[in-house]
Amino acid sequence: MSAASRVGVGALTPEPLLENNPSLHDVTEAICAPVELDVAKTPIGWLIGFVCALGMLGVFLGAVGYLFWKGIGIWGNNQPIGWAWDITNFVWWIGIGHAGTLISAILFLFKQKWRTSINRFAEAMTIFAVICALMFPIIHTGRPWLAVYWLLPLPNQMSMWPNFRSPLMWDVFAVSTYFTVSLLFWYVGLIPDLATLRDRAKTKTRALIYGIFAMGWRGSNRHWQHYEKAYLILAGLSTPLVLSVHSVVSFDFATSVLPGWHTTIFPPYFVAGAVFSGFGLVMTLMVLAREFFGLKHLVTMRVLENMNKIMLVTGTMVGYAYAMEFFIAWYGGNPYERFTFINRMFGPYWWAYWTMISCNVISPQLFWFRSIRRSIPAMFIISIFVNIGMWFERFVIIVTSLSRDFLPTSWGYFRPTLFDIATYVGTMGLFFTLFLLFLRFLPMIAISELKGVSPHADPHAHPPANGATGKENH
Amino acid sequence: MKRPPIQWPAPDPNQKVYWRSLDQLAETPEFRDFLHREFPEGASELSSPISRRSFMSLMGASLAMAGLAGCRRPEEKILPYTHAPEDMVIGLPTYYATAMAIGPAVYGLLVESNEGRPTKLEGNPQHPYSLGATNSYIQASILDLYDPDRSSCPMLAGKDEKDAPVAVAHGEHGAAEHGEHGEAAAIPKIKLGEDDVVGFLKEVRGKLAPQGGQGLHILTGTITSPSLLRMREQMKADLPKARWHTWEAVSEDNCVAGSRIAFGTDFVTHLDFEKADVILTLGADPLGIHPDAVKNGRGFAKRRRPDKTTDSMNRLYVVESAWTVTGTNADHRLRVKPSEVTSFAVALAAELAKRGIAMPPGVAEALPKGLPATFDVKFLAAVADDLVQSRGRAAIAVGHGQPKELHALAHALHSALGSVGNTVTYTQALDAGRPLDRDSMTELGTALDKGEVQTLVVLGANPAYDAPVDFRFAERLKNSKATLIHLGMYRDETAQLAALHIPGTHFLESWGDLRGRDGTASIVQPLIAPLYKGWSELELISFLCSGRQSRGFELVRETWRGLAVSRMPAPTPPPAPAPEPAAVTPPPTGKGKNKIPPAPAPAAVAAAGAAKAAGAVRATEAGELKVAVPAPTATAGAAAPAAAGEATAAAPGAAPAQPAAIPDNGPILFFERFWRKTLRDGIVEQTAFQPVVPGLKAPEIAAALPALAAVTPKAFEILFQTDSKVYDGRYSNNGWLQELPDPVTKLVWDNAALLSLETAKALGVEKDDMVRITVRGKSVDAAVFVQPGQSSNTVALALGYGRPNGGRIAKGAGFNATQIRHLDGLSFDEAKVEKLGSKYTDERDDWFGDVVKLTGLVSTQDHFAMEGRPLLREATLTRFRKQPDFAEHAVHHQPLLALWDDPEELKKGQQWGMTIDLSACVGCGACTTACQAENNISIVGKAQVRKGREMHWIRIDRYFSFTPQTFEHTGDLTDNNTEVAHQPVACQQCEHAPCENVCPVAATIHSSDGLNDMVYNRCVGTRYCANNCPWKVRRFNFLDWRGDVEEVAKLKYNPDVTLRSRGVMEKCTYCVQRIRGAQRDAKLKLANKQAETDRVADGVITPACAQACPADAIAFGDILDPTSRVAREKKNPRNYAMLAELNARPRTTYLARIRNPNPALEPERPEAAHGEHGEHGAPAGEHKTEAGASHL
Repeated sequence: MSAASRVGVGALTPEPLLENNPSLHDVTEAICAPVELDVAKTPIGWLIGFVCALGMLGVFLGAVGYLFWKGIGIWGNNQPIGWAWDITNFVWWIGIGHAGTLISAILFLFKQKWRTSINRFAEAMTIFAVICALMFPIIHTGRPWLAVYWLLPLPNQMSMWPNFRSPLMWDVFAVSTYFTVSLLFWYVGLIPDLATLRDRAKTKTRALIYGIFAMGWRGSNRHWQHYEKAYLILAGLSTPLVLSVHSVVSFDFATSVLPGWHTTIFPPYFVAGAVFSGFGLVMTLMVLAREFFGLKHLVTMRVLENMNKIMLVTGTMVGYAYAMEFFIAWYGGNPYERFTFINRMFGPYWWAYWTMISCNVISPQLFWFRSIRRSIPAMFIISIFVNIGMWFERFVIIVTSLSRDFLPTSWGYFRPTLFDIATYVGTMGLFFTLFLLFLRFLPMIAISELKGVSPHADPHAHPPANGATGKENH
Repeated sequence: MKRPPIQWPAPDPNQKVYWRSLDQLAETPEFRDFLHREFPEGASELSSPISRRSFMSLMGASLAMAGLAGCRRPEEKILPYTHAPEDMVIGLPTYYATAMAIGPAVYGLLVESNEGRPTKLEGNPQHPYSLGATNSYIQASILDLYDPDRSSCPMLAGKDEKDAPVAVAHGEHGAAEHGEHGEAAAIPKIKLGEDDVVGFLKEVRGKLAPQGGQGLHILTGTITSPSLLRMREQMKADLPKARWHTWEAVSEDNCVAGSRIAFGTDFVTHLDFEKADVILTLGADPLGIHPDAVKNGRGFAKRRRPDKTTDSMNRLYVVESAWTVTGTNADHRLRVKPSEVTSFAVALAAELAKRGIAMPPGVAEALPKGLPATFDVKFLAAVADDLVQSRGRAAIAVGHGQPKELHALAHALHSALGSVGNTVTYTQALDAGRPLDRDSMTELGTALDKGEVQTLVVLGANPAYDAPVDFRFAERLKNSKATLIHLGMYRDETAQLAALHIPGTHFLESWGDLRGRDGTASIVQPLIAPLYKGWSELELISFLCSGRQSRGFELVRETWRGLAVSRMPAPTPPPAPAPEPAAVTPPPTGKGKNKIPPAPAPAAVAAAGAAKAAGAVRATEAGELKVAVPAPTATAGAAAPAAAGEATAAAPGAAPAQPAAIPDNGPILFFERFWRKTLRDGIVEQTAFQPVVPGLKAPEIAAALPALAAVTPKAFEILFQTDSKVYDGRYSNNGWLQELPDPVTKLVWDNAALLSLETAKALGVEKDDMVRITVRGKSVDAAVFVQPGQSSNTVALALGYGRPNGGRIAKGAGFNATQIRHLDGLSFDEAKVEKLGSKYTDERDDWFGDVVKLTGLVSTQDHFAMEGRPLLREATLTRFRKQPDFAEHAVHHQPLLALWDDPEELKKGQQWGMTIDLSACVGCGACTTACQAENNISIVGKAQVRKGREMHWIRIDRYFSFTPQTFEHTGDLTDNNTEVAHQPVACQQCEHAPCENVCPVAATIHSSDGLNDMVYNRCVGTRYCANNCPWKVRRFNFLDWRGDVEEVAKLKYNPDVTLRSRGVMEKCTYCVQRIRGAQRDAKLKLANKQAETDRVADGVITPACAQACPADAIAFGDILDPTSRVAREKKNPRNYAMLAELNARPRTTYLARIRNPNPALEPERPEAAHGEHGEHGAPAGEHKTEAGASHL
């Protein structure tokens, strides 16, 4: 096939969302297969992954247990760097948690049908990422046993309320709201699929468990009407949350007086960065999962390419924000701020800064090339770069700003300890443990929704010529 | 406020069962044994480690068992200073006056005691050497009292207590067993009981006494105690052949010897920094490590803080090698090698002579010629000109390490410049005519070599560590087969060599007396019974003299009885002889301090007593003091009135109109009243020597001066510095001092081989590189710290580190300078420095969990430039006169607006604020230690300081300026162009505190009187407040810093300040506990109708930092009261707020630093560098916050 004809096809007819024209039953079978495997037939790859993830989870529990026993001093945090990896990880995980809701809610509202093959996956990722993120506001405190409930506005005999002026307080509300809505959204979307699994269950236990969570879904017209309204409402509720939660997280920094933190560009910049990093991780995991579970025909190259385009856009937005920060630092005339930004580039943390720029600004620019946009290895590697770069973005913002602020006599340098690393790696263990359980016990792709976008669901659709597109994927 | 005394019912002897459990306790043999030993002796024998619980139960037992064993308290009364002497009110601290000595220095103190535990030391305002202020040594010495490493029991040939076979019961080993102590090491290490010590000493004395003390040698530090001097005289009578030696690692030998050259006898030089217009220091550190430093700091600072453009300032020239605190305050500093100080002084003398200053005859001619003059000639000329211009108002301070001839020359210069009687005064020396430490040690060494020493008693000295390497103390001691008896608070290096080690007492545990350098005497009264089985130095010497145990209390009273009685008002016919006062003690009663009838002694009796004072017995007693304080044989003849007047002067107001009563007890009562007053005041009235104008012996000076030619600069020199933290090593087991950043290097927990930039470059070394310093074949390896501005080809190494046996805190700290210190090169010496190629690896580093395993020296402040930021603002006097409010104009910014209106509550009542005068601050660090003591601030250890987790609530930021006056990071930092400035930074108590907004749990909130409160209980430790603090003054408990504090160490805690758990943020509170205490008192006064308002008067509240500050640089008070000191200082044109442009409105503001450079050396720089007022087009009003809202 010549390049010209390929361009022609690509340009005029949209690639199908599903390849090989699967029947509705095929869709169900393909998605339910990994969930319904016998215990004995659990794929060895999954088992290995799960054991690794559990091991990392053990590291997490150990690190956090020791942290509770000894105190924050086991980390590398110091004076003046009161926050380091802890809050970096928190913001990073929260950022990752943005993709799911963005894909589910915003793309849903914009009727982007390609979202259906990845939305469940991304939503699950969101939930787990937010769970990981939620750990940090608790464990990073000096006295977590009090922080757990003193941060909540609970009535008490001291008539003592939290300080509503504190952005950390806003965080509590923003993140917990986001988590609640995301969880509901995900769960509501799962109900028809849970019913499918219930109906297909071969054992009573499975039927019972899936049945309980399916909440009596029978697929009646009434159910569907209510379901779709609820889903739409939740999508509507989630959409502003996507914007608000990371804006509020950015307020942790923006409302402070610290040069490098105190800047009004943070809310949009953080949201763009969050979407960027969220897509990055979805991409990393999706590329692996679709390969592993044989779902390439359901999660097509078109979907992946669209995601890469979003990464290109958000990556460029992030790059613009970096540039704008510098411009304002110069234009604003605040010598402290000016110093902070020069220090970011050329100070003791130059390596972190340039890692961030390379990963976040330069690497996604490769997606301008279609071949790279559609190359599985390239997008996998770039997505990993994005994950790294976005972690460093938070590290740069938090640590370099804190390390050198107003008084040169109180400048410092942060070095991580093994416990910093263990805690970070450990949260990945928590994430992957939950994620692998999800892959094994819940449909990773929304069956009902995917059927809705399959050619069979479209009474006017003509099945595309076999092999017209997507061949290069084989 | 008059508080009625609390009346306790007298204990009923018939009712023993007071507390049933204690009664039962009393039945146990252990307790009976305890009582037997405890109460009759008047010394507690609390076993170690002491738990608070057992401490309290023992205290309770002493109360309950009063009928059983009698009460010890009335026997040795200690009296409170200002507070009502009735009874202690639980929960209220009481204050007692006492005094402490550090080498030759004596400081009068007021000690805060909480329920019988001394917790905080403050300067006694009446004492001329503390003036209410203190230094770091004093502040930290309270920690030594409760040091768990203190020696808790006597040891025979003790190594470590842990090594010792434990169970040797009392009396099991007879005296015969340790008859011969030739081989100390061969004796089994045995723990001793109190009786054994007495037995041992009796045996030693039994052998020595028949020989008249032949073979007994005693080694002490500098003696400033009249009682000890009296005991020394006593020993001359009792054991005439005993020899007495003194050794001080930081010795005043050269000063004394210089005085002997110049005057033929010992005079102490006093420089009056308050009067001096021009001060020149020659290798001296009069504001840092000097016996007079606290006093000097006060005087110096008074002349450094101009308020009006018409105010004048002094000018300080410093000629030194390594940085001292004084050097950092210099207007002009010349860095020269230690030996070049001499050539500078000689050249200066020649210059002065050239300028027509009349030198004493022969002196100018005798000045050695042709000394190498490598220093800046312009500097020399400027100093000479300035000294000539300020004739009569100049002062020259010569370092104790400089040769004696230089001291003599300085005396001559002072005389020539007309300073004597103005800026320089002389008084007789306390222990005049004493052998110099060096000679004394040489004599001891010879005696050891000859085998003349049978018994060497070392008191309060540590020759095994700090004697020079060529003295070879341990080796000579071993060869001599002498028995070493050591008395000291620690099982230190000397204790390890001792046949018998006796635990010494802390000065807060034992009675004593001290005389300051001007003669002012103080009684050292204990505030707590000895925690361990301690002996005081007095008690040991007294035992050696008399062979029986005497209590320090009686020994001290004996010393002063003579003087007191001699002051009784004069004469009427003598009545019958009075009973021997020495035997008289007030009858023991249950009540303590109040039993002496308050009625004054009857006139007749008083008169009678006075008459007796003139009689034989009294005369002897009075004479005892004179013996202890020998009058100088003044050549000028002017000194005579001093000593004469002193002993005979009548105490003013000594009750001329007293009613008659008990005839015979007159002297006793008089003495008791004298004693009580003395204890209360903390100083003995009229004991200061009169200033004298000694005659200068010009020929002797002229004869001595050529010797200076021998002090020639060497290619490479070493300077032995006295450490600003551990002194000569005596405080090296003190955690507060180890963790206190050095004033200049900011190093903690170590000393280092300090090298200048040039020298480090030439040697190819940088920080943490190990070098080998070799002096006359002896060498020590030390880590390098590069110190810009030090003299080149000089290595400076502080004393007091690298102690082999200093205790747990001292272990591993630094490098031992005494290994290369020689008896004739105690201050500086020729040295060789080689690079070893290795790095300093510190065993104390705790790398648990660290990815990057760092080691080496730790400094709390790595960055030394201000990056052009106007944080510490300073100007020259000339510029200040042109534009007094230059500091406010250092930053121009937009009008500062706030989101909220100011709370009404911040505009009324009393609003607290602080000013810190950067012009006065000398940077000594006393505030940091005082704050640590007051606020129960933990130390964290070197490894944690490296991680930036030190907990000091007030730190002193030190900046190096590369080019004078700007502190900008322009050009390269060089040795030649370096100045230092200090800026103490504590919580700024902002009105719009950035920390308060961001705390999610409202743990840091604003009080209605303007304090930024920290609610520890509420804090969950998010650390956001610390992140958001622009001044970075908040301190987080990353780990449980209090966790491993031993029980005895817990006694030091201030009960008014919460201990912070881990995970909690803390910071300066303006000493809120003191504020609330004063407010409570004021409210009580109002309630009792003793006052018309509950406002706290200005000056009543003093935060710990301000109280300790020798320079009085910190003012605190109500900023709404226009008459308060702080409000007045805030109106000072120099006042500015650091980072005011952030609109946080700090309540702590700074008064800009003013320097007074000599225009001849430092031409006034164009003001454009600072930004001329008006150039920026900002009207003055814009610099302020909204009108009326600013309290800046």
